[in-house]
Amino acid sequence: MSTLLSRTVVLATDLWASPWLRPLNDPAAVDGLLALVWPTWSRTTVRAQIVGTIREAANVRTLILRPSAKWAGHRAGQHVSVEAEVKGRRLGRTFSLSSAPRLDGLIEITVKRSQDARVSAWWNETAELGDVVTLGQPTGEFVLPDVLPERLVMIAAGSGVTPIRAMLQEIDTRSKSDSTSRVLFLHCARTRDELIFGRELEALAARCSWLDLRIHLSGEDARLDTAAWNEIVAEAGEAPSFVCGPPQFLQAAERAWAEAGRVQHLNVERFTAQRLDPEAGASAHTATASRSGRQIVVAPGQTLLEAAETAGLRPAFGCRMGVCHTCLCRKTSGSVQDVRDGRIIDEPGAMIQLCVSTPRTAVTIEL
Amino acid sequence: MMNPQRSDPSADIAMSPPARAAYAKENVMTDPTAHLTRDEVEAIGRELDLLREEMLADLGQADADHIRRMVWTARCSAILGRTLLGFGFTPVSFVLGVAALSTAKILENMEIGHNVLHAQYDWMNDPTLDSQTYEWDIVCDSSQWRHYHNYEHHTYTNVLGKDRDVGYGLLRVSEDQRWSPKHLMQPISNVLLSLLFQWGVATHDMDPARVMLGSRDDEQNRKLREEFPEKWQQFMGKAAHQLFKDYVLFPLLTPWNAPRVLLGNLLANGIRNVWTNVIIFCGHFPEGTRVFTKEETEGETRGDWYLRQLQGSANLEGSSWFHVMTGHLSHQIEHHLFPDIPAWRYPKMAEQVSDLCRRYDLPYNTGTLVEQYGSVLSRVFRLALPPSWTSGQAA
Repeated sequence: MSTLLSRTVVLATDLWASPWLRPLNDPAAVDGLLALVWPTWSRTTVRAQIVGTIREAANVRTLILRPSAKWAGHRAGQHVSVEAEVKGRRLGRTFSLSSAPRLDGLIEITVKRSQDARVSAWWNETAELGDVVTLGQPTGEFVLPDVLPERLVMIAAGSGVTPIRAMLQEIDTRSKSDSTSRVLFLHCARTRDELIFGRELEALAARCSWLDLRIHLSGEDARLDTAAWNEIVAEAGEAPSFVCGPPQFLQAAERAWAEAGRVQHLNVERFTAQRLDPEAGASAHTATASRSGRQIVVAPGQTLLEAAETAGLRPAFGCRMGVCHTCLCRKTSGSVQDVRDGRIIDEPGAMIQLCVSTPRTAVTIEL
Repeated sequence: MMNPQRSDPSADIAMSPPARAAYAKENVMTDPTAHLTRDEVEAIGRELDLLREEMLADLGQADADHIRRMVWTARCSAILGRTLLGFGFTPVSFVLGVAALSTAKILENMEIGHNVLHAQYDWMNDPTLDSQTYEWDIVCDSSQWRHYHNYEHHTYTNVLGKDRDVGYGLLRVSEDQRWSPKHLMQPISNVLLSLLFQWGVATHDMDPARVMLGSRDDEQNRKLREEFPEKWQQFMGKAAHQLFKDYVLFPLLTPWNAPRVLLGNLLANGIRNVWTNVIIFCGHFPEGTRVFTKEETEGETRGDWYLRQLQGSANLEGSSWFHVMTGHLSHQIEHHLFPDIPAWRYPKMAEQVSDLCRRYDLPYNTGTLVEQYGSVLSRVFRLALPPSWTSGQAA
């Protein structure tokens, strides 16, 4: 009922978008009024209300969200930008969805509290039933193939389990109608207590013969060394493999798959932008922000976003890891390097992501 | 107020540099900061910096709640006012409608618009309260206003020849401004400026009078002339929008009441004009506020800058609702010391600032609206006359 009503409202309000009708059609005022009627109604953004919370571990919490009608739907394994209001500040982060698409339309996002991360602290401690967050639309290529192959390998470390849990749910649903894959899932954590979704996944493995769940606790078992990685790669063979975890973990996986010459079978999902070491002898460069007329000094290895913020500018930003493109900005001259993969962008007029770009020469950006 | 007015009316900016230097030497008593040592000036700077950092660290939910409450109050007041004007039939509903719409416009322009455009709420990361994109309900284009107000007026506050807010290029509000015959008219031009204040504010940045009449050799005039066409276009766009909204769109929304709505909107705009004009004039023009020469501000330190802001501004006393309706420009002193701190914090900060002034024996210019505006008007009248006429009275 509320969906039908909100659709009608959205249609009616779309008719009068002319700026000459302001303030009658002021989007902020209209959204504000809509939100008074129903907390997730909005003409412009996807809003989602918290309808359930689950404490997964001491510092890990799942929020179950009901997104508004503007939500386009996601595929298991994808991520989404989330904006929450924390102590009066709107803060955006990107998180993986930890559930597969559900019949009731609800989505789950599971977040581990990390040090000095205001959003993850809010997620774990402050967020309450009824609170509303703003979502982007889901994106990402870390998804299952359309036709499930015979075998799949999945490896997760720490909170890297979240997109993989969504994929396992998806496989479970599909296995009821289709032929399914045999899945080897290596679930890594430091201790038993930190193992996210441990009991749930064990129950799934007990129920489903297609799932071979192996738990690796780095605090108790031997660390995953090169030999252990090589064994995993050998066992994976030609099977499509999905790995998600912290940067060093992903590096180890990439090295192992590359050495075996099977890197084309490896899919990874990063949580933080991985940095190239600043080149030896690299020097600071000057960035000219043409709109504000400011000269910014960018230290070696520093990103343009960080340098701009240090200089007191306030460029729009979201994920700070090159995912959400909120900080997209036109570069009119000069050359920059993507800190994640070393890609060099020197064509004038290119749109660059400030959060993952560091200058190689003096640059001018439209900021 | 505390700072005695300069008794020498020949303190005219037209004086030759040696004469001005001699005048400054003689009148060292009129500089209320003359007794401070350099160390004290820097200590004042550090103390005020510390207060600013303390406030910045404390920004949070309370500030967000305050500005959102203001946005809703202004919106509800506007809806109520426009509804009463459009659908009412009695004179009572007309008066109430005008009152509600004026309140909405004053709140939007002062407590919301002015403060948002000062980037006081940028930290909230809320696109509807972003200083770079906010557009307010007044004919003045906000990007032009940000330029002359945030940059020129707040950086060069009360510096003659730099801060064009001193008398708005129309009035002589300080003995240090050169008298010219046009100032004889200023008791009348002051009334006209207050009635049409939003148009004065809207054309202030492009300064058409200077572009047309100003000296061709002057560097500042040349820059103004270069930027004029673009600014003119911006101005025309914004003005067309505002005029269409208040004098075409809303009257036609309830055609049977069109003349009533048009008149109501005109009155609401006029009331807002007069109110903002009165409050803003009380900020820098009452007796006791100082103006400065460019030479005085050369090599200024952070401490010096704070002291100039302190001496160039004046406060108003009143209830908390009065402060809100002035956009907290009733705390002009605190606003000039801390222009990007959310303004609703000024009353609290004023306790510490006035305490600092007491400790260092500095003037803290404050009074009621009647006292301060009375003082502004007496200046406007007295300074309309050439210095030679008033020298007898002032001595």
